[in-house]
Amino acid sequence: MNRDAPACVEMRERLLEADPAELLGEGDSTVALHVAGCAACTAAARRVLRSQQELADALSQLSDRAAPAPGARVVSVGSAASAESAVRPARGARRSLLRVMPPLAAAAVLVLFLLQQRAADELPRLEPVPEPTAYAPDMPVVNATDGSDVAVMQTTNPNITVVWFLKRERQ
Amino acid sequence: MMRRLPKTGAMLVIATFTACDPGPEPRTFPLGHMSPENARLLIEPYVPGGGENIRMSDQPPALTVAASAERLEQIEEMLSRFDVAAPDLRLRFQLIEADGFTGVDPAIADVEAALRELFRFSGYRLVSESMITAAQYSNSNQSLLGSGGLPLHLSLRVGRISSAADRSSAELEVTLAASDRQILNTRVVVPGGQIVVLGTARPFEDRGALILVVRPEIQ
Repeated sequence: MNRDAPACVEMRERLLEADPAELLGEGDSTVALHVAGCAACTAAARRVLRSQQELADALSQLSDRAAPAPGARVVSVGSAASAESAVRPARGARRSLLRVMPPLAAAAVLVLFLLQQRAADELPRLEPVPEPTAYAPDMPVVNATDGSDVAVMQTTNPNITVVWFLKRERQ
Repeated sequence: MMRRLPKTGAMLVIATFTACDPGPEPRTFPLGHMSPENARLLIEPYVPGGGENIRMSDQPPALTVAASAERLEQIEEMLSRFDVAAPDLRLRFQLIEADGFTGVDPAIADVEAALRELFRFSGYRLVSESMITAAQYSNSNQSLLGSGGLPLHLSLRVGRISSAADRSSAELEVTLAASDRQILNTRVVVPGGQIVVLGTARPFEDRGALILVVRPEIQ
């Protein structure tokens, strides 16, 4: 099946919402079954997975940088608020994360949008071209042209075929 | 550091998208046998942007295509399958006139024996002979002389020539005509090693049957 098929066009949109397992063609959902049987959509699903992974990695790195270092206390231990503060990011860090998340979310949306645009712009995947097969009949194959009647006659010589024109060609 | 994070998000977009799309790159494919025009027609539907991303060169025959690396590899594979040498085709034509002859011509002995199984002409005579070497998808024309010096025109159109393992064939359209009329015209696919005998009875009021023997050699 190629991506020009209506099923593939619809499937490209559903790939963006699919679970990773479905993107891998695992399971018996409609998306998974289609991905498992369509080379073009398999490639598209892999691109989505790869992009999701790259985004997840980038977000993870950014979260690590924004969170307090292990062992570091933001406020002094002993106050009523300290226990809660110790397990939550400090207000400054939360504000920073709040500032970071919108652009990252926008980035994620934009990446998915661009990936979708790329999928829409792509030409059909070039499927393996079948080997040109040689058409070699055992005996001559005659196609009489218009205005002629022919008799094709075999002879005892298997290498000779006689084509006899029964009606004179028109001028 | 935190103030730089929004910029990092934007860079992430660019980096991610750039990683997914390295962009088109040009690659030149030299052609050994296909014409650049035919090769372009073959690959154009598969090249993003179509003809805008394909350039042709006749000397040397080559195509330059701008596309993604993956697409270029697929195009290269496609061209390698189609840009192959066609077998050589050599055609030997023999013009034979029937009736009114009693002698035996060894040059047409095999055909004469076959014709005697089918017809009751008193004899056969080789009037003229011609050899044509033709390429796949080509046209050739030759003049032949019929009996009594009658000028005849032999026209040959060659279609596909196939050869694989021990089988071969050639698609031919053969036309034999006099100055004022067409005598024979047919399309035929001839397997290698086969002889096709084209004939017609009394194409002219004052002459016997005219027979054109086509002997292709596919190498």
